[in-house]
Amino acid sequence: MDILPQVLISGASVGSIYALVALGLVLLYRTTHILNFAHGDIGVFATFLAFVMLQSLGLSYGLTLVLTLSAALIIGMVIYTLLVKPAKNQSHLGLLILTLGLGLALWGMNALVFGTDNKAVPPIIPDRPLRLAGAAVSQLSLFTALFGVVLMTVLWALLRFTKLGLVMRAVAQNQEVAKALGIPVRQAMLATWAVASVLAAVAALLFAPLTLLQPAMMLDPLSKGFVAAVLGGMNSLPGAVLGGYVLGMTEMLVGTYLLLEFKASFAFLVVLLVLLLRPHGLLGRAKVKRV
Amino acid sequence: MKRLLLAGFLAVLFAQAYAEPGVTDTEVRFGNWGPQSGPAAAWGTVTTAIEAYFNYINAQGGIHGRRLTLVSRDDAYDPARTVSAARELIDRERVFAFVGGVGTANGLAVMPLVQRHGIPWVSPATGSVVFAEQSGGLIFATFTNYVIEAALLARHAVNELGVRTIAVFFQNDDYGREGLRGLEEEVTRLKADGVNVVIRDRVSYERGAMVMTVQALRLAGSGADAVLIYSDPSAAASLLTEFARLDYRPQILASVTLLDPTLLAHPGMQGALFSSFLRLPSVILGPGQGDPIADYYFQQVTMQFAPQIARDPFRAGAGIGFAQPVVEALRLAGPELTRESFVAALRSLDGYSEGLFHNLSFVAGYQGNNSIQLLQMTPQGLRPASDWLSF
Repeated sequence: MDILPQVLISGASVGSIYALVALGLVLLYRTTHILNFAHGDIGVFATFLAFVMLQSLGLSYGLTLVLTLSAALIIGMVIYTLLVKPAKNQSHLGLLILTLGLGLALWGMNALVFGTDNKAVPPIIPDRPLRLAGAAVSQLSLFTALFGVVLMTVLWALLRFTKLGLVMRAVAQNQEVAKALGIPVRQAMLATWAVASVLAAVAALLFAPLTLLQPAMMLDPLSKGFVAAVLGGMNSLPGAVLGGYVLGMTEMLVGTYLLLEFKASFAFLVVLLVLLLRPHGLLGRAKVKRV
Repeated sequence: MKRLLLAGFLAVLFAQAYAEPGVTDTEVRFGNWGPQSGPAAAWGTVTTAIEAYFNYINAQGGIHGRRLTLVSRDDAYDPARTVSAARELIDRERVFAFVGGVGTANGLAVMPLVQRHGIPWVSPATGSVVFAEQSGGLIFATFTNYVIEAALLARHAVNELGVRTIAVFFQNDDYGREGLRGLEEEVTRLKADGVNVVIRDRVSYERGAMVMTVQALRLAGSGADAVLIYSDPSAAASLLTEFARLDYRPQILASVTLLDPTLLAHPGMQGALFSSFLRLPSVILGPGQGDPIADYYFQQVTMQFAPQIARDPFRAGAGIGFAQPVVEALRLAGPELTRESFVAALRSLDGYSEGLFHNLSFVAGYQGNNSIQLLQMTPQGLRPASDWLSF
């Protein structure tokens, strides 16, 4: 039996999670040049909130989703206003370290408030297997993949066609000049952090039903998401999604046909190769400095 | 006169330095580490349970007038952090002995320290064979080891459930590889007895990883009747979710480390066969089905002194079970407590079954517990699937 269709489909299923994580990371990075190490922990916090709403408060999934994503939005804005904006060291490295600290603090808070024991989170739609080209596709994976593509399109359209998007792109190019020109930089940053946090929440909410919810849940997907973002080009949203799928499929192909133990290492090797040939990632654009 | 005072003062200082660490007339201090954070954090409950049992004993006046104190550190299931935690417990906290300590790789990292400082260690909270094998007269294992456990699980599956093809899913470290070894040794024995059983695939994952799609595909591709799992609960849950997506429903054989209340509720766990080295209470096995000793300690210790861990009665029981031989040995060692007398008291334990282990005995060696009971997950919950089995 040829399992290649199954390998590819499972690879895409894994890739869709990486793509979602990468999307959030890239959105924040392209506007603020901050690598957010707390991205996973923000998502986990939001998922814990969802768990409490579903289990203890008995709310419906729809209402829970709305409330959780709204909470994520607010958390993003709070992080920017209370932590990022007042930070003394506004260099890229300084803010990166700040996000590292934020991640640790959030981890501790999640563990303290919600506990370290494993919890089960139900999926947004039932995880039923469907058949496609002789392979099993999970209904939930299809949803995740589709949702990722839709989100990417919406974000891309936001950046391309709206005023807010224009402001975010201006801030990404040169924050100082944008400020000098009277562009509302602060609003752009607030919006970026808010949306990135919502993306973190979405990725975690779609991943949690596949495993058990506990504070360290997003560590593995986060590191893969970083790799996917780098692979696709850190300033390209479609690149993030493409990077996610390429990473997922490579992992599956290497793990199935080559050596399972080296699947992660081999995937990173592929990334290295891509970066050697295309230093800015698959879809990234080189930054041209005009003199 | 001044010289006499100075000499006396120095003598007292020397006496203190050479006095038994961690022991005073009113207190004896035990060291412990556990994952309060990280991927295995659910196992932090064991530390809480040990402390609850100590508090239970203290509420009755302690042992020979001494109250028991537990000093614990979080190592996040990271062996590097376990080493620094152990150093702190030895050098700064000056503990008398270690009790518990979750994690195979974690415990292995700390063993050289234990040997070097001559610290007795009771109940490493891991089923690795190494602790009893390299005990050096200091380490007393009460957790039936993974090699025996895997062998008994496989034996039952083959003899009682008619399984003929097995695959194994294991964490790529000493913990997982001991499960693999137990399976391989048992399959060799069964084949020698003329039973035609085959290991179809051996699939591993790295500690901390949570995405198991590749592993699931490989295992499903093997088509094995049964899959033996030596992993952490999150990895197992991910694997079972992927199995369901691929419509692969093998007989699951699970190590005791997977007795996690949330994992048990996973639909993929229905019909799974588990191992337990511990007596289990009615709150796990159903009304009237629990072991009376387990029920007693669940009510008197967990519910009274640590009700917040009652939702995880297995790990709560494990902590109590780990602590019981410590208390028993303190009792036997008498009021003159030294590490030597403590170790001698432990070695004298034979047929100790008043605690949560079926039968604990250290006269013949340092692996004190060699029994397990098999349980099966049914729609009504966990039910006994065998009597106490000994290897």
